[in-house]
Amino acid sequence: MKLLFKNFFIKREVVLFLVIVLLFLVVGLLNPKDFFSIGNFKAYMTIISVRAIVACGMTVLMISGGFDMSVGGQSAMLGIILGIMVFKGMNTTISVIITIIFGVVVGLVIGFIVSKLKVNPFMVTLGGMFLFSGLAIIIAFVGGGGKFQDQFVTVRPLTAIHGIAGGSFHGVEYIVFYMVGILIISYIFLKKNKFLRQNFYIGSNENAARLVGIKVDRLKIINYALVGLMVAIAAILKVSRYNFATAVADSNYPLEIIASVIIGGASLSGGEGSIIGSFLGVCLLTLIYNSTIILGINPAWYTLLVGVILLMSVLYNEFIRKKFVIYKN
Amino acid sequence: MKILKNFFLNRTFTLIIINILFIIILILVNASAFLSKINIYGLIFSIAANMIIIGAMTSLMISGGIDLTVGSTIGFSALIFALLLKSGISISIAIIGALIGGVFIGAVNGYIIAYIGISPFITTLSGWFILRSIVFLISGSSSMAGFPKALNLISNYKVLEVIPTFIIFAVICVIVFEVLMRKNKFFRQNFLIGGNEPAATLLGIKVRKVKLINYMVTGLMSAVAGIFLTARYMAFMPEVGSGATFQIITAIIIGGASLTGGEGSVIRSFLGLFFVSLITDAIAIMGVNILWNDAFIGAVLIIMAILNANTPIIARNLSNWEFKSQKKQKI
Repeated sequence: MKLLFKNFFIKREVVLFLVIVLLFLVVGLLNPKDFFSIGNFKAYMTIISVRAIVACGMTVLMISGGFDMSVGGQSAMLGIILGIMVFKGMNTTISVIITIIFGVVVGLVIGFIVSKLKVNPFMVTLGGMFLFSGLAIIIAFVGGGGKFQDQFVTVRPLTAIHGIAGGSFHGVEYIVFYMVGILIISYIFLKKNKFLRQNFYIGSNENAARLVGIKVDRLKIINYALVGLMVAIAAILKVSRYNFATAVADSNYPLEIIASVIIGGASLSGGEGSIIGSFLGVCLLTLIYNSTIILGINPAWYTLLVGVILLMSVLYNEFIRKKFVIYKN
Repeated sequence: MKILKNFFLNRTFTLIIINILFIIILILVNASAFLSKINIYGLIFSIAANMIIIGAMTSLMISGGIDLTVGSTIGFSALIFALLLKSGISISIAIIGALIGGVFIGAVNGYIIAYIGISPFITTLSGWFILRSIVFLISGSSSMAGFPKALNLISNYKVLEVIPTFIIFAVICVIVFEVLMRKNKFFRQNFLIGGNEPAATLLGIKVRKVKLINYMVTGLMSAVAGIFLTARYMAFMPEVGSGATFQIITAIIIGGASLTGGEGSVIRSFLGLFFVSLITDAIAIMGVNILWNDAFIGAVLIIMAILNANTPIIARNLSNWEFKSQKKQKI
């Protein structure tokens, strides 16, 4: 029994799962009518699906020691690009393909700047964050004919694309299926694919990985491209599901996704991470957000909590997993 | 050739030239708008708050650290300031209260980063969001006004009838920090810590203590900026200071500092800050849609980061080029 406790319950994924269950029960007790409703379930499952897809790419990237703060800007920009194309009546399949290509290219460029031009990823992605959100707004403005559609620089309606992720199958939205598919693929790839597994080595000790013959630069570029791909897919699904694209969304994306991945077990310097953990991290954060709405709490509490949980997770990583010692002066 | 080489190698030279060129271009494009009283004052006030902080932040980044919470600390201390004033406390005591708030945040940051050893990036990233949320929660997302009239004098009193005290203080801050980084033994330790931390420890430098003080000073200066901003606008808005983090970091990168530490200079950071402010001003004056602002600054950040990281390679290529053309002349 003691062994079970030590080996199973201390496992991060299990702890996360229990916390989520706890949250479920507490919020459910406080407001069962709203929290357990089908509408609410669909609402947060959609949000979880979109974020989990991005988190998959981010997990792989963070395992290799990198990170990407520009995912928010990328998501807004890709969403707007897709939205403008569909709005102007372009063929939906082509629009989707172009959006995906855009996402991958952006990722490749960032990856190139980080690995070949040797710029610190924080700098590049911080700049990218503002560059892409700025571009998103500009594209929306220009594409919308030089005036703001709505006041949120939004493009709508986009019913043409609704088919991709707009429907549901026996009550479960298509988008959830996409997420599950991508989760399974990511999980299997990370466990089995030799190429992606190399990320663990790069994250642990980059110089050693280079010496062993791993093509570090190439892998890093692919990681960033992967994140770009995931963001593109997530953005496409989101636009399709909600029927509109907006340039001013997702400004909290970087914090939330990175926090989810770290909560899920990734370390900032790389070498660790898990798809399941990241997924549970996304679930936890999304449910907390959902709780603030259900319980009528000011959403600022959510941002506060995300920051606190992030800090706690990092402290937990340092203390317990690496058995860090507080310096006594 | 020499000029080109200097352009890439001597960052101060580059920055001064670029800033002067920029100003000349702006004057040529729209002299009446650029040189108007409104615009000059606008430029001065938009840069002043960041100038107060940039000295401390540069010294922090030279030591290899980073503080993303500066913008939120501005908001936090501005909130404390506003609340204290509203409850009738005298301006001087309220100032002390706000300063204590800023130093406290810096101390927490510094403790977690220097003594517990968490990466400064993650700590201050969390702190950024945590503090901003606290500001919104406590202030109820609403602004405050109705402060004692005397408060405005702190920022807006015009020396010689034209120069506001805000900018005078800001200039003093930049000069003081530049001098400190050149002469003061304590602050110069940052270069050593940033260059090679284990070596610095072996030299006997109390690395953890210096880092803690760096963060506390940054917190202090952020609080000062918050006080001046509140005094200038005679109001408190929960968003105050939101853009500061990004602008200051971009400015320091333009100024040539390295993220890993070991190099940097306050004057260059200031020139970078001036450049960033000119960009925003140019966008407003030239009638370009203000939406381009963030995109431009983001692009500049990326380009400068690439330049910073690759200067040795560029310098080497330039030297080769120079050498080859000299060889040709001899033959």
